[in-house]
Amino acid sequence: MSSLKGRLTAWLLVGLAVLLVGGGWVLRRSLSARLLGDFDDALIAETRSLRALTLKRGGVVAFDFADEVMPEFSTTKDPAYFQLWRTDGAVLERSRSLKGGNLPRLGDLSDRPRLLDLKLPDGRNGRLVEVSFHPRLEEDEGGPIRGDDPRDLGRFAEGDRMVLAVARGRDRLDASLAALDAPLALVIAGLLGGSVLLVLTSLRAGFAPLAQVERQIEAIDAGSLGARIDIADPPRELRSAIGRLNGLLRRLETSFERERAFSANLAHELRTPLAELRAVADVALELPRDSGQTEAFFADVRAIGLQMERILATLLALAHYDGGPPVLKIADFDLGTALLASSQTVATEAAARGIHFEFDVPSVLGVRTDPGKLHLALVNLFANAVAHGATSEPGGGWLRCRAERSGDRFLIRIENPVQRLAASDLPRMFDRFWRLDSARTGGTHAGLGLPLVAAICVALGIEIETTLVDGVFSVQLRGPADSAHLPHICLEL
Amino acid sequence: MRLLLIEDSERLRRSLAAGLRHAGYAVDLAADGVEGLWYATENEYDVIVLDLMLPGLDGLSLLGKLRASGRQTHVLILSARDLVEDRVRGLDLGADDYLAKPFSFDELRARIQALVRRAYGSKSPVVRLGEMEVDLAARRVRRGDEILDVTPREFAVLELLLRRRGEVVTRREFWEHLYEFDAESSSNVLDVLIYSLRSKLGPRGRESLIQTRRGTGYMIDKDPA
Repeated sequence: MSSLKGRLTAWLLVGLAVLLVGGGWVLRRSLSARLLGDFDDALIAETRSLRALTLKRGGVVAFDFADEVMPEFSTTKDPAYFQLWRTDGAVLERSRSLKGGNLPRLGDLSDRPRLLDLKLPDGRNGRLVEVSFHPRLEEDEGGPIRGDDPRDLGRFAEGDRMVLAVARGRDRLDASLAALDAPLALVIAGLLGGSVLLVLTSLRAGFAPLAQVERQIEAIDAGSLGARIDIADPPRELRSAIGRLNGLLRRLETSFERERAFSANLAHELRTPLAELRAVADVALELPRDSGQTEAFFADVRAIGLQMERILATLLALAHYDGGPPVLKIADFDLGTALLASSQTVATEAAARGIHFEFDVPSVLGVRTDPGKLHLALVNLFANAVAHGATSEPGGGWLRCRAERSGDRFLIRIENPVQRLAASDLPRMFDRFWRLDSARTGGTHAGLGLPLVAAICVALGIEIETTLVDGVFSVQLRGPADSAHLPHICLEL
Repeated sequence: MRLLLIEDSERLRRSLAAGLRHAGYAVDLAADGVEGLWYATENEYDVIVLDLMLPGLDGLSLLGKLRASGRQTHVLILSARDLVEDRVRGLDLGADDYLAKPFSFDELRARIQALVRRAYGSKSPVVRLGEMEVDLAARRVRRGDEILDVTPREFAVLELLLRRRGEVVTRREFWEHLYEFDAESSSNVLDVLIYSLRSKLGPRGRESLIQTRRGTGYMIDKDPA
């Protein structure tokens, strides 16, 4: 049974049934023992009464029994029985109801009453008690034996014992015990029925929040990841699970949205240049060759090709970094020189936008890392700063670069004023295809440069920190200046 | 016919404009949403070609504002977003057509022509005027077996007159539908074009298809003799 509710129902019902049947059985046994005990007590009391009728005087034992006084031992219908023996087995006396027959002897001569279920001479089920005892001494040794017709049982030596057995039918006892069974079975059946109802109702009520959660989970699919598990007053046992499930859904939704955004952005970044390429080609084929626009069309085609090549190259580089830790090509070099060389790659664009560079770098700043990868990261950072740096300040825009070495780590800080960047953009700016311009206008940037910087920094063990204070954006790189602290496989150049 | 192309990609804007102008359309260009909305609300266009991802004001917002202003200009959305929900959203907001990038220029031109036909309430691209047949899709004028040599600008004048057949087209309307926003205004140009068209469409001495309504403009009768 795979259902938790079904399992609990089965276990509880079987458990309750076992408990109720077991309890009924114990109760039945207890009542039966009590009734049998009462029956035995009465039988023993009767035995004592008969024993009291034995008298010993002057070495002679008499039995002062009269059928009239105890008629149950002489009646023909459902009679009682007794028998009196010497210890050597000689029968001294027996009830008339035995009609000369014998009761069984149990053989033990202790004072303790001995009990036995037996088949009575008249065929009924019966119960027998046997006792052994010394005959009672008559106090008045000289007088006659009292009683109307005491029977002389013969001479008894001092210390001789007698054995007395009394038996009675137990049909009334058995009838009483049988009368207990039906009501007891009815009560147990009723309790079982009630338990079934109670168990089902309780489990249904208890599992209601779980069923509600199950229904809500079933309703969630890829199109409704914004949904959350929400039930009124959730039980304590489910609160943590619901919280974690909602957290998981939130993360899943974010991942899906990122995935969708990635696909949409990738589609846009590739579709737009493709559309441009196709439109240029289609129109160029339509226009007369002497329209004077052929050269411009070719220039567009070349620019589009370069743009797509850049996008694909960066995507491939990112895929390479995603594939696992890259092999680093380690060399000793001067970080200041590397910074200057990287900044020179965007010097033309910076000059065109009126942005001037300010460097604060020690004359010698030796580091040991992968110069090629660090150069690529720095070029992207400089290009980003030049492309998005504000230029409206007096004297044009500026870009400051500071570098230093502290112990076994180097620090690079590149900062520049920005206009449209908000603090809320900082956590997303290293996401793939993220662009400050949501319209994604222009083909120069695709939103892949900073993600590539992030991937390179991970490979080089560099921590990136970005801040935006008073309109000045700053990116700080702090990394190991010694290859001994690099996280990946290194090759010496 | 006059179009407005709102597209932030300079290369796409430039090549499409060249192709559409070559096809005989007057094309105004806008590079962002704000500029595009201004053009769209301040001028009369037969069709607006609208990109969705635009700086300043995105295409869907522009479309919403355009429809809210009461403008019924036909709008063809041109976008790199090609999901069904993007198309549905654009059409729900009042666009008349949707074309995903990349696209064939021929298809774009055909869709623009279809929207122009819808704008003027005609289904067939072919108009017959007696022995003359004007194919507005192929932009060709045929008289019998002879194909007349009509320049794109002359064809644009003829097309407007044919689409408004039976109505007088004023000089102002000619300017609004045939010339770009920054074209230099000269009433002479229209007269020269009409003269040239008349001479090509009918032999001298015969009553011209294009009639002059002095002081107002020109027209072609619904059922020319």
